[in-house]
Amino acid sequence: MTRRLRMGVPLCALAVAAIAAGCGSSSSSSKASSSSGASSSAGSSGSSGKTYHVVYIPGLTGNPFYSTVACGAKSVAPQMHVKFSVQGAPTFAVNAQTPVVNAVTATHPDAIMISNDDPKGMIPPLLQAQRAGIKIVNIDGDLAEKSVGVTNIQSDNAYGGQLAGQAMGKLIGGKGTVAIIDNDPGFPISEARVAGFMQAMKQYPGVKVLGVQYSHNETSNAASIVSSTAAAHPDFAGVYTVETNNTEGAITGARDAHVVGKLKIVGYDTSDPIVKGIQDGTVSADIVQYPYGEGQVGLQSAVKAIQGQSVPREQTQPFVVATKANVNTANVQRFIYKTSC
Amino acid sequence: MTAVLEADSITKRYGHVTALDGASFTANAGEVTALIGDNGAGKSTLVKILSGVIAHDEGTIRLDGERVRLESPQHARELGIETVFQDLALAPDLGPAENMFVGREILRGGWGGRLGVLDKARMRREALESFVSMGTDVKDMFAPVASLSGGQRQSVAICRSIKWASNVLFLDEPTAALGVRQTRNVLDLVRRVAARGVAVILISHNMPDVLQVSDRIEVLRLGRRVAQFPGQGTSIEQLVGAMTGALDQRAA
Amino acid sequence: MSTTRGSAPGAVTEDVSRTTAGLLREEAEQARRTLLKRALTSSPAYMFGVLLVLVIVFSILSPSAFPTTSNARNVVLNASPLLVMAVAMTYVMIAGGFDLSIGSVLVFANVIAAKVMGWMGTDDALTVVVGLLAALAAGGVWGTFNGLCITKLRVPPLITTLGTLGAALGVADLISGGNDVRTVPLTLINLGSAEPLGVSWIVWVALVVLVVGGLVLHMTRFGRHTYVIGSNPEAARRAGINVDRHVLGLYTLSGVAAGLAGMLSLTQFATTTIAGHTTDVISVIEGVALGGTSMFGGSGLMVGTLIGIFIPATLTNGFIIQNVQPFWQQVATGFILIGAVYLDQLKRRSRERA
Ligand SMILES: Nc1ncnc2c1ncn2[C@@H]1O[C@H](COP(=O)(O)OP(=O)(O)O)[C@@H](O)[C@H]1O
Ligand SMILES: [Mg+2]
Repeated sequence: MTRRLRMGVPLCALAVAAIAAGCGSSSSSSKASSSSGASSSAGSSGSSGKTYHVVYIPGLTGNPFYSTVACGAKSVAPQMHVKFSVQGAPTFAVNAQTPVVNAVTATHPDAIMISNDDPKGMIPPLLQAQRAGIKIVNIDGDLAEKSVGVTNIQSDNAYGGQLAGQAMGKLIGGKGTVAIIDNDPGFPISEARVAGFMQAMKQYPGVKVLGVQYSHNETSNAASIVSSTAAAHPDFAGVYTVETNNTEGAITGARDAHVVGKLKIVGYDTSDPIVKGIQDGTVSADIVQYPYGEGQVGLQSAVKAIQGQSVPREQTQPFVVATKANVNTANVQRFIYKTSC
Repeated sequence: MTAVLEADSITKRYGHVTALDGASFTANAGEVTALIGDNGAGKSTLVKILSGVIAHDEGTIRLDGERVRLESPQHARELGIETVFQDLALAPDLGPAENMFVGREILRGGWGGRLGVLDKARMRREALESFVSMGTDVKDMFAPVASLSGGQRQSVAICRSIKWASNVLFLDEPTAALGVRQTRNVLDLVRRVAARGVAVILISHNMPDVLQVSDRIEVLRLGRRVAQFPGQGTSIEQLVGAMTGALDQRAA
Repeated sequence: MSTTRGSAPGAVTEDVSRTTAGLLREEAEQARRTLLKRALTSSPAYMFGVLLVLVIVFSILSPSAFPTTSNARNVVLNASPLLVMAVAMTYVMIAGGFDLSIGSVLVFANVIAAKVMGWMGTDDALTVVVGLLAALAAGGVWGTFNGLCITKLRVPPLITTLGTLGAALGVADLISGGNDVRTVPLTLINLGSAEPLGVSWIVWVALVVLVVGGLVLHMTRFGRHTYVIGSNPEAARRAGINVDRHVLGLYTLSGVAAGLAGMLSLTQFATTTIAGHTTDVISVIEGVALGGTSMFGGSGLMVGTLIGIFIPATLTNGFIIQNVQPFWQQVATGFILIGAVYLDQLKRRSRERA
């Protein structure tokens, strides 16, 4: 650690400048990058612009939240002289993410921004990366071992869940049956969102909360959970959908069961169909995180760490509760996900 | 001549279909007995019963005069009864030597043998010896059986059964897929095996072949034995007559 | 029972015996030549070529990142649990079957082992051994269940193991309440990071499974019967092989292998990985098929499976290092797989025409 602080940083910066210069944007030119990368360890002097190489590893590929994080980081990359890229696995699981981290580590970027799939399981590969001199920035999911990673940036999921619960309690007037739809069991982030919700619901003893039901991240499953619950419970007043696909499914399910308006949908995270749902009132409230900001802060923190500046170990990002009334305001719009950039 | 294998009043039903309806059959040591009959007469069914592949409903089977129940193909083989089935029952992906020793693999001596380690070289050698001594043209011990010609495949199946037959050998239409020369070879083989004292039972539709090679001929019709002839001095017309029922002669 | 009772018939002419002697003298030589030729034209040989090309191309494209020992070590480590399951799958597929349930059985064994070690509350070698036995037993139970359904109830393997694919995961979720279990003793975690002779224990275990699996498949009667059953089950039955018992054994073996993979995964990640194995079965079958094991049973080589597992693993790793979108890896493996099976089909057809 101390050795890297003394002499690792300037050497590293030089090496990175050389690698980035050779790499360009296409993969075919990386032959040049590695030869110059090798020579740089001998101390090639005279490179003026400092370009850093930062890779973001999302929890899984093709997810709007993580795509928005990437967009946020990308938006500040040029001004920070960062060559930014994204690599990920198609499933949200520690054994899928580990090989990606391993391979990214082999390319020796200056920093890895990562949305961890497991707080404990991801320690060994990231420790390996950190030992290789790579700065680790955790985004939306910290590790159990705080010595790995320079910072963690996330929104407080339990708090988000509480906001959802409070919104739900008010919307249904403190009575009726409420269902919860989650993707799959076993994910701490979703569990925190559910726990926060349950916490808030304690203030509404007149509400009957059904057990968590799982959609396996399938919109159609979420839809049928909603329509069958509507059939089984005449006092079905609200549904809390913990991820985007479930909210989208709930919109369909409410339509199928002809309970649009009567059934209050409170969602967590957004997508284009959900924004439309908020605008037309199908979705009563939606907890919107600020992944774009997480991406921006994440990249800025990475560069600071590379340059040897200090970064707070914990950084949080705000929420907004989007409703029909506020969804079109600029304040809420900047929270909405951007999947292409 | 002693009767090695005697089947008495064997009945086998498949639901409403009666494949065998009180069929009897005798085979003597050192003789070639032909079993003939029209399609569907029950020949294959009888062979399967006498080689332990399927169980019969009624009737008795005697081997060397003793009543036996053939529990399984394995059991029949332990009693020295071998069969070349109409479908050959070869493993097409494996080589001739491997097929020859299926279910009877030779293991290495000592330690390896106890762990089930195969003596592949010895099996290849023994197989090649049989193929050559039987006058077949099966030489490549590695080629999968599926890549051999129809005649070679037949040879592999026949050699395998001959190698292990000590009492009785059934051949269910062994020459159906063969050319003239290969048929000759098979018929020669059949005679040679009988000369070793084995009771050979040949099922064939080729009447000239049957008359040429057999010591005795038994005829099945509609699941029963309807006639027995000596190989010598019987005419094709007599056989066809018995098979079609034009000339019924009750079995003794 | 005796394997030596039968002897060649006596009527052997001088001429024939001379030919026999000549052929026998040539036999050893021929055996060597034929084996070499067959080895060089086999599917594993082609696929080894493909793997070699991949390694060379990636090494040229990123000489400082790809061909390093640490990178190779990571690739091998990450593929190890898959390799263990692929060894068993090779047997199952050579016997003409399929086991779609392995990913779920892995998770089930994963959860059982973690729970058992958690209940024990101790943290020593004994805890780890009991955990391992629990994982193997947990896998074996599902494997035996699969085998019984297939052999006794005659439910086709595809349907049976599709059923247990869902059921095993469901039961694992019930036991764990759907939450990943993290009651993993430090002894096990330390075992996972220990690297005797520079290679993780996990890799050593996978290697032993591969070698033993390969030897048993190619050298023993058990292996030989596996081929016969896949090639022509009726012939196997008539040859006195207890096909049902053998097939039951193979599915049990596959379950036990998944259990072992579950333990290895627990060792590597220090947590159960409930959500992480839905595509394991695809990777495993893909690897076995790439290695040249026939989808129709009857043929295949263990070395092929080894190569087959590392083709997608190398592609993923190389593509990430090259900063190629990960989706391309799935596209590339998909096409290589189709090509490999097409090759197998071509060989079959030309053989049947012969
Ligand atoms: N497995 C079976 N199921 C139903 N019927 C069968 C079966 N095997 C044979 N049979 C019937 O039994 C009769 C005798 O068949 P088989 O023994 O094959 O005659 P052959 O070999 O003399 O031509 C036929 O009518 C046939 O359709
Ligand atoms: Mg027939």
